[in-house]
Amino acid sequence: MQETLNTTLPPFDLLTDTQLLRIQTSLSIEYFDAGQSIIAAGSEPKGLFIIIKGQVEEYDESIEGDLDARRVAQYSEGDLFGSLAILKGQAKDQYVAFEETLCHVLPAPVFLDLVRENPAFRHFFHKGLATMAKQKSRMPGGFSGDDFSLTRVKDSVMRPPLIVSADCGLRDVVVAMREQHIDSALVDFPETPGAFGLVTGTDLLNALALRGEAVTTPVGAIATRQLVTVDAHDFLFSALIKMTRLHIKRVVVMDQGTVCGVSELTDILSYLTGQTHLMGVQIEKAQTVDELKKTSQALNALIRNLAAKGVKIRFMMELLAALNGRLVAKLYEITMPDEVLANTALTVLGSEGRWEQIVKTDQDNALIIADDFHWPDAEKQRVLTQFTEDLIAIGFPRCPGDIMVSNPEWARTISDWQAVMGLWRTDMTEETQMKMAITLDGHFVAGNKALFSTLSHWMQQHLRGNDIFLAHFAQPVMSFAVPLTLFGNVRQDSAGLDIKKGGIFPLVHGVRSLSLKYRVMETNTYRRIEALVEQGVIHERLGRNLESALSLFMQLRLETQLAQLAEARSEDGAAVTHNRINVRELDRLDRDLLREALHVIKEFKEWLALELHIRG
Amino acid sequence: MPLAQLARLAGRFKHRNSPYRELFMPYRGDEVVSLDCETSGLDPKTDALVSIGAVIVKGRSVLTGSQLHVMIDHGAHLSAESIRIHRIRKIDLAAAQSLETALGQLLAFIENRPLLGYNLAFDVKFLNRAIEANYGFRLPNRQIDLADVYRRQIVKRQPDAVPHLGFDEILAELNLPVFGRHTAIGDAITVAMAYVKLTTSR
Repeated sequence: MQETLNTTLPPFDLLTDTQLLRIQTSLSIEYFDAGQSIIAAGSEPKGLFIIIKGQVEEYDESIEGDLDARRVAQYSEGDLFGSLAILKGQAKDQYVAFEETLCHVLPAPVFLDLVRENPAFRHFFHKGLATMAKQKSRMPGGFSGDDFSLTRVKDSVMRPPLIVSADCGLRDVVVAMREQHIDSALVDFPETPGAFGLVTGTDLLNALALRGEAVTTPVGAIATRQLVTVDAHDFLFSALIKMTRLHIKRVVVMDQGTVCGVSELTDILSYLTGQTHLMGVQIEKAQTVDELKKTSQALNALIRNLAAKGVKIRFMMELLAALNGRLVAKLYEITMPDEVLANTALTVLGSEGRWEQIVKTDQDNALIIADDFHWPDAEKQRVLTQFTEDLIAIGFPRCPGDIMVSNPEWARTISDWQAVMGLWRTDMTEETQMKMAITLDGHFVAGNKALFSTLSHWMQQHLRGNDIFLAHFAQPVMSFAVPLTLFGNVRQDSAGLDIKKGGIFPLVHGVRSLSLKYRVMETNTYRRIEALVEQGVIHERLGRNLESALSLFMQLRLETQLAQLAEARSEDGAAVTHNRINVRELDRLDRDLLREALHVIKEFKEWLALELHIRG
Repeated sequence: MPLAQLARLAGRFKHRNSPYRELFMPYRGDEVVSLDCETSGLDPKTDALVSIGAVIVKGRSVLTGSQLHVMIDHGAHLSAESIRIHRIRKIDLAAAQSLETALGQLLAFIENRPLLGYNLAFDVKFLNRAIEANYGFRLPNRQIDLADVYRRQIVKRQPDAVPHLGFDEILAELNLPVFGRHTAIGDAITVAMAYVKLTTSR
């Protein structure tokens, strides 16, 4: 038998020899002309298609607009399509050969048999189904385990509920809650046994402090009767998603119709992050550089752990930013004399300032010094150089661009900062543009916050958009081509695809430029996008797409960073030397998502060029 | 070709009681069988069939799941030259069939479908010699040569072109992937893909 399909590749490597034989004896090869429909929308597909050669595009016929607007996905050599349609019995989208295409076709009945018989094979496609269906709001899959996705509510973070009677006074409820260290109570209404109400710490606070209720008011009067519940056997992540979607902090857990507990958001988060809270405590307790160094080293293990649990990348970024920020702040606080703390503001810049650095790859920081602070130059230089060295010692690698407080250019008085930024603004060379960009992402971490606020206000006042400046400022967005081929496929050279240049930078800098123009004060890219959507600057659909594209890029970059750390057997961010990912090593879904994300960037750049009058 | 039709008609009468009479019935379906043989040399009189590969083509599909691939064991007979080309050594023939069994499988597989091949006349010459010796008839199936199909397509599209009709040139021109070149079944599948592309492409 001449085998034409390579069955050593996933998902076919999951099949038994008998199942493989079934495949090989039922396959056919089909040829499609460019432009020819392969699966019509609404039809029942004849089989699973595996592309031997060529390009296929998937269009959502329900979307208005031209082909570009309707294109949902593209497939090329080695890609599979049609599985979703077979499983659903009907194709939602239209699949068309974009160029001459040869496909293997595995007949639908055989595919369905295999899915029924082989759990691993089924899982491959179900994973695909869930992911593809949620393409726009991906809960990233873990690296190794799916322990998180398999954890059920009742096995993890459920607390026994505190139940109080509806006629119980507010003061008594507060006392009971304090005793049990719980922030909510279920309210039992005698007239409706089994149907509870809920009262939270915030409810009590509002009732007592804002509305001036008496401490003897029966709690039944302020309880919420509409309970949001989950089943004890539900997966933990569905509880988390429910809370996120409804903006609530707790859900009531039901088992066979009766209340059996309460699950609080903070409990779920600390369950997910394991050592996170412990780590925060360790940072606060540290008194020496060495103690901080130990905590800092443990952070990469935490990242690995979070990634393995499939924690959402955005949440991870914020968490790590908070922890790293505390580390830097704590170091500053324990090493600087009080008068320096009172007269300076330490600021983290660039990705740290944007809260987008997960693995510590370099330090970007600057110092704002009060105009009237008398600090002899020699002393200042000695102290700041030592601080930079200490930061390196606790695991923040040296900044290759020398953007560190030890460099006098990045430690200035307020009026000095104002003067130099005034120069940057008119100078418009690439170097000053980048300095400006990095500074705009600045985030206060330690010292005297008033200094930071003063400068930040000045920046908003004086740097606001003049169109020529903005066009220059945003220009670098265009300097790297989006790595897509003429046919819309992901392009990479032999060294891989530089996800920073090709994806992250244009997105972050484009959003930054818009934020400057529309005076968005946020520094985090997600928050900037949200603010821009809110102001109506960018369309909500583009906003959502940019957010998921950024998450995907960050996710892929984190994977390559962790791999580099592991290879160097190091917990030291300095081991991370590049941002390249090998597209061929990605699984099919990631590749599809990446392709789509890069198309989002391309669309964004085109739109931005018009919006900010940038030369292409 | 009235002569071939006449021969088929005569065959139908002559073999009306044979178990192979279906072979002589006119074919009404939309399938063809792509066929390729590997031989120990170029002369049908002295050289032997080494392997036969065949795959069914239906419309735009090459039914790779429905294929025939038989090795034929002649006892001795493999020349060094043929080993070099086909990479079939005697040891590879361990699981091979006798010529009689192989021919029986082939006839059952092809039925009365038209046959397709590159330089098909060569393969048919070898097969007919063996079939005639065993069954007393020659393959009555309609024969389609890929080179003819290709030439007609090229001339239709570029009337002035002088097409190169070498197998490798055709494959290169059609930009097709190759599975197992120089095995009978690999070449049969490749020819089948070329045929599908030539006959369905606008």
